[in-house]
Amino acid sequence: MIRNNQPLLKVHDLVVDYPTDEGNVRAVDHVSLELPNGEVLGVVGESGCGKSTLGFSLLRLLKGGIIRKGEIIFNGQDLGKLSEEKMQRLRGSEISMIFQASQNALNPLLKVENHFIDTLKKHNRWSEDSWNDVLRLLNRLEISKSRLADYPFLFSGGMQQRIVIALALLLHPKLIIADEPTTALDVLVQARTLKLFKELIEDFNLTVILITHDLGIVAEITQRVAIMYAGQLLEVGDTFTIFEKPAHPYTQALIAAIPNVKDETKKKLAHIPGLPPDLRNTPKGCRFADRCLYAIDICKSENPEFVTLASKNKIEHIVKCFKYDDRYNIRFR
Amino acid sequence: MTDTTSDLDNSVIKMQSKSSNEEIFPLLEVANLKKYYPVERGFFHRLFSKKDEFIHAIDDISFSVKRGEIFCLVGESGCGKTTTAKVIVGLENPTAGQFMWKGENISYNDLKPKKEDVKSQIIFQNPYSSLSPRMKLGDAVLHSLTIHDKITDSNTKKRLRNSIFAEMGLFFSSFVSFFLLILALLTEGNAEPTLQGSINGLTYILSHIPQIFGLMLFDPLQFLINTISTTLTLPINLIITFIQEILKGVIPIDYVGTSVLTALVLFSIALLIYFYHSWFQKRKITDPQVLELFNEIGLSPPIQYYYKYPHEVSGGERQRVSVARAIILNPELLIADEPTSMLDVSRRAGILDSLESLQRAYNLAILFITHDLATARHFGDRIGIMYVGKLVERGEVEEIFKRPLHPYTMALIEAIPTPIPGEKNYELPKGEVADAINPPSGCRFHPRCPYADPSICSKEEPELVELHPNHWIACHYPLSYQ
Repeated sequence: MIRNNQPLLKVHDLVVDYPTDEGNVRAVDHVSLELPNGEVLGVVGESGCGKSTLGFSLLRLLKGGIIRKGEIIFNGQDLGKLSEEKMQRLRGSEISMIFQASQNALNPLLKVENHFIDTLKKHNRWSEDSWNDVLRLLNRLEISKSRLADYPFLFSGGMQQRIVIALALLLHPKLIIADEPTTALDVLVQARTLKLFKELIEDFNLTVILITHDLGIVAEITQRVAIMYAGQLLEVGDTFTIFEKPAHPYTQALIAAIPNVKDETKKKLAHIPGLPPDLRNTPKGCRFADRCLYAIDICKSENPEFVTLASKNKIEHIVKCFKYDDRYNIRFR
Repeated sequence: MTDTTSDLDNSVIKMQSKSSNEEIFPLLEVANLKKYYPVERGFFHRLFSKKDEFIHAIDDISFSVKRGEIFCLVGESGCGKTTTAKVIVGLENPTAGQFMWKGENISYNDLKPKKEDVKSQIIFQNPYSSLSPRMKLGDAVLHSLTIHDKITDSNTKKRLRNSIFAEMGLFFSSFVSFFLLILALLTEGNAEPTLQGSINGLTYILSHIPQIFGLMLFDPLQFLINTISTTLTLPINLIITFIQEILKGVIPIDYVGTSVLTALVLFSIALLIYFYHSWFQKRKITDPQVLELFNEIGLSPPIQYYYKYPHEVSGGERQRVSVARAIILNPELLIADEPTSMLDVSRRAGILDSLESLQRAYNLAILFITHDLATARHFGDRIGIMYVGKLVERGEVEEIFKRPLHPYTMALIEAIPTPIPGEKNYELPKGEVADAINPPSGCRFHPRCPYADPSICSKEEPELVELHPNHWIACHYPLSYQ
């Protein structure tokens, strides 16, 4: 893995709002992230926690959303200050996205080959060589050349998803944002797609942000995990550490809530009581305090700050919880 | 809390003592169940090909569900697991199949829930579409009691009857006011009906009948507004004379005037009764049975949830209401069709917990349909693995997960992303789920199977045999039994 000193992507203090008639929905609330070259980062959270919005805001593809504050520095340039024209050129060639519902990501009126040709022509990359590249890529994703003249609806869900992955990789982007890439697929197809995706990540040394709610997928392909809750990051750390020694009560609860097929003891699954807070009117203090088993008075009145925990490797393990903050020295129940 | 647990224990004991020799037979036995859907093709296709095509959604499967157990049906999408659920709950007619209920042969029609006899109930996958958006959560549950005539509380009965009368009254008086209005319009401004006036009025009414009638049926309030506006469009001098006549106190006033007035008065009285019932009376229809169940299923305080609409609560709570709606009819068999797949991770475990405690409390048998093997392992007692309409493996959950014999089961287990970081070595089957219209010959899994032997697997269809005690499998080359 090649790592430069300069991170490929640096998100600093990002705030994204959706103004609605019933108030301002703060979907991303002061999120800071750094992504070194060649890393696969998983962003995990329940639905409505703002993880997809975070992904869309990196491409400035927010529908009805506004970036209120913060910087997105990609490869040395601030994406927030780029003109729409330059941004358009950057989408697909520098940063590309694998969308959640592959059936909707493909144009039903265009043959599959035209999706590739159009993308290449739009970015002025159309040549004989580039077409051979396309064929090679599709071959790796197990889509035969003979089917390129078919329309998207003739393909199965798994194949459509693989075509969308091929489209995202087509222009060799530096960063790929994958928003629930395998959620709509069946178990076996999902496993196969993930395996292919993982191979491609390794071969092309891709930098990926994987947005998902499935901790299983995260465990399979990521190196680092960021846990998101109600618009904020609660814990960021190396995948092994997060699964072995989750620090934040929310992460612990989330991991305890998923059944493991390899688990022989029929232990009871834990569920998290309550609901995530309303993003229009977030409570004071820690966002998770209402559902947290360990919450004490200070959790409900003051906002915790990130604390760095000791980690085995070089990857930083940070957590936003008073439990680990030495300054307070709080004993939890 | 201690009270409820002791209650649960008591009911379990009661259930167990009640059951007699019926215990020997499983609750439901399904044998050789088939369901084919005809494929709809265009005219020319039918003209030139004589062969009718069918989707083999379920192709000859047999299984049984014992009393008080959780039987899981697992498979990929399109394997026929949901169709099986629909057949058993009476939503689809099977093409073929025999059913045994507590050891007695019954026909398919006996299996369907009747007004007085409810054998099974279903929880649907998507709680966002399975609850009516216009019904309060309590009413939704009460509704199933109403349909099956199982309301025991006399107060609830009385209030329900009253509200039905109120609605009928509204309907009736809108009819009356409608005909009075027609009469009024027929005469249109004339104190005494004349031929020309009648023709004019008739043409006017005929051109408006569909609108008026439709409105009256589906939206009484809009109808009232229309009635008023129609009245206003009558000749202005008519209204003036009408008011003048009233002022003068002459009786009878203008013919038209009386009719319109009567229609309006009748209609507003009906509306008043209706709103009185819907606002003040209907609100009070709380059935203690429903409240109790809400409490039991984790919707507390129940009275608050009773008056909420589905959009006001979360997906998990909606699914709890669906569970309550099914449970309240006291079915012996509950069919749960992927009840947790639409929910967030943090809420799945909660639903499964409540299902489990209900299952123990009522000694329910649950047919649990899922694509998630991990959930099946945690939740189920026995499991059946389906592939393209066939049952390929069946047995105790622990047995199957420890020693999967069918390559397909093995692949399914290996394919699930586990929450443990690390590498995997198992070879995954290639390709996609087989076509259910033209399923592969022989074993349906052979085109994808890493161990397939073309000489047998593609020719002979393996039968479901009991290879080990309580472990049934349909495969020519089962994996080794360790």
